[in-house]
Amino acid sequence: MIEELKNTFESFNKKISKKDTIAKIRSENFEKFAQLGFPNRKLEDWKFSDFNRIISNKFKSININLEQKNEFKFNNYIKDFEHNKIVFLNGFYDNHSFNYENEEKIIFDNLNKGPAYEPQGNNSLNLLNNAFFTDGLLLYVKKGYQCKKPLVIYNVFNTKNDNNFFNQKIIINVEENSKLDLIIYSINLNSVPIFLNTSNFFLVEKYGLLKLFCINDLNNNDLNYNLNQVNVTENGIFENFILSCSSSFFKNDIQCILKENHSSGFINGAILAQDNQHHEIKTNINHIGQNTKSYQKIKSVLNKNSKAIFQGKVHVDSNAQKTDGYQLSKAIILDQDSEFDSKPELEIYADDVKCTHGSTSGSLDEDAIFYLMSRGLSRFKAKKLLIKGFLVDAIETITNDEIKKYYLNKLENKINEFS
Amino acid sequence: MREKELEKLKDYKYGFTTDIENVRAPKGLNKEIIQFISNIKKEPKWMLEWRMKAFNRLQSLKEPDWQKPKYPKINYQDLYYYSAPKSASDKPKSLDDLDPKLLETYKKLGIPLQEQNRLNNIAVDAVFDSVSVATTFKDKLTEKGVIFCSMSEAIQKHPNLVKKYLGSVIPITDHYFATLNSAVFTDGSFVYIPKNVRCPMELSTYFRINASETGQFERTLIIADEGSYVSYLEGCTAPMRDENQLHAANVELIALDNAEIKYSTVQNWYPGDKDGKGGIYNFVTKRGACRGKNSKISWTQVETGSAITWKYPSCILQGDNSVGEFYSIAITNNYQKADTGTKMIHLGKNTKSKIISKGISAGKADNTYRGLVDINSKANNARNYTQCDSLLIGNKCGAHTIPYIKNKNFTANVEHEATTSKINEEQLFYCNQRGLNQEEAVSLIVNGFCKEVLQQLPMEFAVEAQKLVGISLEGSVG
Repeated sequence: MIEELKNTFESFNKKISKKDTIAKIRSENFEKFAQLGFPNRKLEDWKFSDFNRIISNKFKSININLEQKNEFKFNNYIKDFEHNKIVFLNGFYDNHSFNYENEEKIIFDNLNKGPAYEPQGNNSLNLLNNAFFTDGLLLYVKKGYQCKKPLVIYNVFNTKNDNNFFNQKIIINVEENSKLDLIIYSINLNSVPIFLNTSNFFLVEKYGLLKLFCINDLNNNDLNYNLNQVNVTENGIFENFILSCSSSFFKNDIQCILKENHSSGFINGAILAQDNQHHEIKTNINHIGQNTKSYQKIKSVLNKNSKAIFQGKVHVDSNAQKTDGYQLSKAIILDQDSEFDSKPELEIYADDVKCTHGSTSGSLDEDAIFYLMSRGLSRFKAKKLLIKGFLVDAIETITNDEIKKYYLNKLENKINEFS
Repeated sequence: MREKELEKLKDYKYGFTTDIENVRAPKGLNKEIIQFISNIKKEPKWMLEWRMKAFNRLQSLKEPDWQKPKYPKINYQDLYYYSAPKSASDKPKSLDDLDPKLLETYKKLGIPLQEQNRLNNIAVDAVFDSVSVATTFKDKLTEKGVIFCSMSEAIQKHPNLVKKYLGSVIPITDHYFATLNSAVFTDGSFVYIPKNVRCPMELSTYFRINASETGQFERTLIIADEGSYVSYLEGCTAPMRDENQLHAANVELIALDNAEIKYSTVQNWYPGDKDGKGGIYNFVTKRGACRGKNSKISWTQVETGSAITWKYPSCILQGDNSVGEFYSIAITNNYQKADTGTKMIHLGKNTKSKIISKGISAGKADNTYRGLVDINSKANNARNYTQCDSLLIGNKCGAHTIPYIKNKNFTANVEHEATTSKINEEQLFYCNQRGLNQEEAVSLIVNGFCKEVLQQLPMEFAVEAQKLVGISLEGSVG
């Protein structure tokens, strides 16, 4: 597969790179990727997900067709609340509207003219993204500006078979004292399986607030890897919620650095995996500044031969005194073919800290089911109610009411699909 | 100068060496050495073949490097693989024949073998360097049919048992250090408890590394037949040396139907000096198999010594309703490093496991709990509870928790919780106010923190362990 990808890359690089320097950096990225290959379970970060095997099973070939044009008419996929939007179609910028904001305070540009990103680190999918990314977003929320409505980045796909591999980058800088609620929404309208590989970077400056929500409406044959790298500076707050219920493979990889004093990071999520899906949430929170706080709560429900994984790490630097770290993962397994793996990790080098983590997995509480049945619910309905109650606990952590409501509706629909 | 030396002695009271003539094999790891070990022990042919198989396998294995405490590369060719007190080459028949210097050593260690014979109700097998030198209380044990002897003796006298069980829990194809041990192990203890016998006393082994540049590779095999019970204690010490010494032991436990094995360790190998020079590398493989229904294996460990401790006493819960337990205290001070924990592999139905781990880190030390709980798809109604607490003393040390939890069965219930914190200032203040100095207060609080685990130890060991906890943390506050 790598050999084939190499040919694809060479013709891709000729078309996309306008300058030799850019082409060179892209090739360096690709070469480093080719050395490493797709990640497999020998790597600690991929211990529970053998991506190499997953992609070889699911994808016969990886293709990119830059000339492809498809008929497309945008309709608002999120109707529940007013929002600003930026639309990407098949990995390229399409249109935007900032109806609710002062446009002078939000600066943005797409990334299709360059620049290129130097190869860094050993995350081979990130290197692959650096080599292949076609477009993306660079956005600044100016100092002191508080966005009135959430911004939704629509990532829409309606492709044919010869175009099934997409790489994207979103880079967002929330400047001093500013605020942004951001939703990244991905949807695949056709039934062609795609592999979406994104690599995002967020910077939250002094007293800034960024709330990031991921909504994934891809199809059940799609693969999605999301890398979010977040830096939070003094008194900044980063909030993240992930609802993971679509895609055959979905891995959300969050690396959050609480760089300066009094910064905080909140990462919460709910996984509802079924029908052979394989979902993973991986977090790595790095406490560097003093008096930093992190909070993670991940709830998972697994049904019908699915697999879910939580790998969470809280790292506390030796200078990060007065750190408060909390991490909780709970899972309910509903059938005999499903599997839940977790690795909640603490790595602590400072003494004046308070860090706890917990992880449980088990089945639904039979006593609770019995109670609900005695109240007249069928066993099936009782189960659904308990599952909903279990996952809503994670959704309750969302601090934006409109978005919380949207998520609750979405979850309700998903659970109603249960059989 | 003398004061300095005295100071040194105060730190590690087992830091003496004993002047005893040793028989040593030449340095190096090769087929000849294995032949030499096998010859000198007058082993049967099958044993030599077994060792050779392990040695051949070793050639294709790589030393693991995923662990947290890194160490300089060990030159395996520069080690002595066999060292025995000379007097042991024709083995003493009774304690009276023992080299008096040896007896003296054991007295210093707090295991007066002769007195033990009469006073305590504990049978002791003492392993000096790599060779078992004395086993006490034989008669009383034989009466009950319990076999408690050195490994070499077992190979001679009970070959069928050894053949059947040796390597059945830790196969020779296992990881690097286990395979190395299989190839070159020199001695160790062998215990067999017959059907429906409750071993009348605690069995105990004391390990001691005396010679320099020696690796110690002992092998322990405990078999509890149907309906039997045994409690086994293990203690270890080594002299102070500037070089690092390797200790790679294998311990295999087998519990058949309704049997119970309780294995306790107080590990106090030389931890190296204040600047992290010297000390033992304690890379041990311990694994127990609950083969039978309703069987139980319980590991208790107090790890205070060694420059690097790297071990995961594990339970393979094969039999239905079997139980695995792991209680651990790991204390690291100065430059010590520990990467320890357990593996609980649930295969049978209604299997239960419990893990209680307490890590204490002081000075510039690093303490890691790493564990695996694996619930197989057939382990219906399996249950696991894990609790890992870490305590940090000072801001130059580290405490880490890395649990791996795999659940493939929807009727299973797995719980894990962990906390990390420092010693509560208010508790310290309270102790100070009651007249305890800082060090006593810390020792008291830490002992309280470890209580859950200390309670699991047999009485005689619990007292020693409590003292050890205090001693290990000396100099870490103030």
